[in-house]
Amino acid sequence: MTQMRAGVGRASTPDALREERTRALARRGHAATAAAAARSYLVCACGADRFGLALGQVAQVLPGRVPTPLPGAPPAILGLIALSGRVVSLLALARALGRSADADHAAGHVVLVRGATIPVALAVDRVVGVAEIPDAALDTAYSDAGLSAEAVSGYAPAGAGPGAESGFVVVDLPRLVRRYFS
Amino acid sequence: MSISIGKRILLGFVAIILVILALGIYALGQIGSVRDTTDAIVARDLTVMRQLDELGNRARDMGILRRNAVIATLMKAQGNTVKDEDTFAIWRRTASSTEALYKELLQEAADYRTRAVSQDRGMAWDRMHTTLTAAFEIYHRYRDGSEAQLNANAAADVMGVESRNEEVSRLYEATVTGIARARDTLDENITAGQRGVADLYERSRISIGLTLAAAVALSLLITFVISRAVVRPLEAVMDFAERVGAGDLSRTVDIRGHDEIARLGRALNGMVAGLADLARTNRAATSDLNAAAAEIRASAQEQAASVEEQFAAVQETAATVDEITHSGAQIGKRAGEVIATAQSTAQTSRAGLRAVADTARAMESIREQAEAVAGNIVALSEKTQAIGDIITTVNDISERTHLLALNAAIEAAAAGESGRSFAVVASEMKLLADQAKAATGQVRTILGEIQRGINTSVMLTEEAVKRAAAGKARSDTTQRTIEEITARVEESVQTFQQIVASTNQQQLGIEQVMGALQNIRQASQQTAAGTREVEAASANLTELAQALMTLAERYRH
Repeated sequence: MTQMRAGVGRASTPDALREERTRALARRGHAATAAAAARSYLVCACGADRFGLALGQVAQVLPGRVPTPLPGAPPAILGLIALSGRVVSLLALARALGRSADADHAAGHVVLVRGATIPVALAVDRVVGVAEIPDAALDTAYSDAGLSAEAVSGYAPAGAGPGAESGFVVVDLPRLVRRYFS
Repeated sequence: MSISIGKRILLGFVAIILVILALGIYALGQIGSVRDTTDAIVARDLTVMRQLDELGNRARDMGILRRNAVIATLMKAQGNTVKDEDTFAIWRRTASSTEALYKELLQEAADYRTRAVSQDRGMAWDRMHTTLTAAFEIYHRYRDGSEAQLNANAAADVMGVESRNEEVSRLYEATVTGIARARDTLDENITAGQRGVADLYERSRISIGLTLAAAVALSLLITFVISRAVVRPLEAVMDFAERVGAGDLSRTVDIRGHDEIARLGRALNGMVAGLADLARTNRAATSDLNAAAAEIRASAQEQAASVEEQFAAVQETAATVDEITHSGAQIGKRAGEVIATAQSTAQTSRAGLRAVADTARAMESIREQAEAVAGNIVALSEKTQAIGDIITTVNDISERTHLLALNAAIEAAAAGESGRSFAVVASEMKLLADQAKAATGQVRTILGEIQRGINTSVMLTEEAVKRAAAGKARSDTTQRTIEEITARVEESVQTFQQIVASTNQQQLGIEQVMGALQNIRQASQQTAAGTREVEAASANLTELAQALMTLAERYRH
């Protein structure tokens, strides 16, 4: 019985939950001390790819919704959505970066971009979490990653951020928005 | 000549009958002629006799009349008165009738003379005629004299009357004498007639006797001829028959014609051929009989041997039947044991039937309970559905918390350095949301497992229900089977009871068979005796066949 319960999951007992929370609180202090020259990124998942968005360039994360299609628009622009009385253009992030994605794969989350000339939102499969990456760890020299080099500012190695089994691409968000909306 | 013997005999009889008939007719004719002759003689003689009597009477009347007339005349002459009568007229009438009578007599005499029965009679009638002629002549003279006297009377000439009276009286006498002579002649004539009749009778007798003799001779001749025609061929046939009787079958009869003898000959030939055939067959059959008798003898000996064997076999059969009796008794005993066993089996199967009925009831209750379990599991599944809904709700909450934590982190980042502690809180919130999400995922996984387990349980329960139903059906089948088994066992009991009864009957039958075998044994002994008799009889038969062979040798063919 105990073995079965142990097989179901580590966090199924209150003691284990409490112990994990204690460890997480203990890691927090260590992270705070190391945040001197680091930047936070919002890590988003699109299919098998992971993209990172600078946290300061993001205004809000919203649940995904069905856009109104825009005739004559490029395939990366999914359409328009209404948000707090404003009309926001919805851009598929993976498609905008040249990655093919499933057309029928509904966007799980919508990320509203901060500081753009027009209201723009990015459709991603899921916003995984926030990752704090030191600037030194960011590999900016890796320009040719099979992506559009203009919209990518760097590549975060594996082991950074939540669910850090693989690394993610740091997207230069203003440049991407400019390419589509200027 | 091909007239049959019957026809020949008939012909002979017809000839004899014709001869006898002719003889009879001839005799009758002779008798008739005698009678006619006698009649004629008697009639003629009687007629002539009567006429002669009449003639005599008339002559006497004439004489009386003449005398009366003379007397009357004389009386008158003497002066006496006499009664005057016409005597003369009466006399004349009488005279004329007398003359007529004379003439008639003469006529008859002449007639009879020519038609006389015999020469004697003819001569007699001739004499009669002569006598009558003479008498008639005398009568003429007497009449003339009388007439003259009567005339004298009429003239009252007494002298004349007296003178003539003597003459007339003499003539009268002569006349009467003539008539008497005629009567004598008639007597002679009658005598001659009697003689003639006697002669005729004599002639007839002689002729009839001769004819009779001739008829007898003719009959004898016919008989001889018939016997010659019948007997001679018969003698040949009889000789043949005697030869056949003596054993000679090699000859045949000559056949001539188509009469009965020929038919008899043909029949005899056929018979002899048949007899020869028969004799041949008989000889062959007798030799066959001889051989057969020998075979019978051999067969009788064989039969005697086989009767011995049969006797031994009957003994063995009796022993076998005795064994059968013992084994039948054992069969009856075993069948009784089998009946007892089968009855206990029937009781056991009835107990099994009750047990199967209990099993069926238990199966039914198992099924009901399984259905109840299925209902409970379905209710549980509904509850897990509700838990799933709750988990969905919790997941939604954790998702929102996740977004809320992200937005809080964004807001904290936007707040800059002052928002750093808020970012920590947001990070904690996000961590909690992630943990809640992971927990709901685990719960969902567990719930899925529970759901699968429930589905499996439902399926298993349904399977259990089905199996319980199948078990119930099988229990029912088992019940029916056991019932059938019970019925069969009871049938077996009945069958074995019948077997026992049959075995008893068989025992009775075997006892009868024993009796029959006893009879067969006696019959075998009798058969042995009979076989010995048959052997003796076949020996006799052989002797008889040899005797028959000897006998058959008699017939040559």
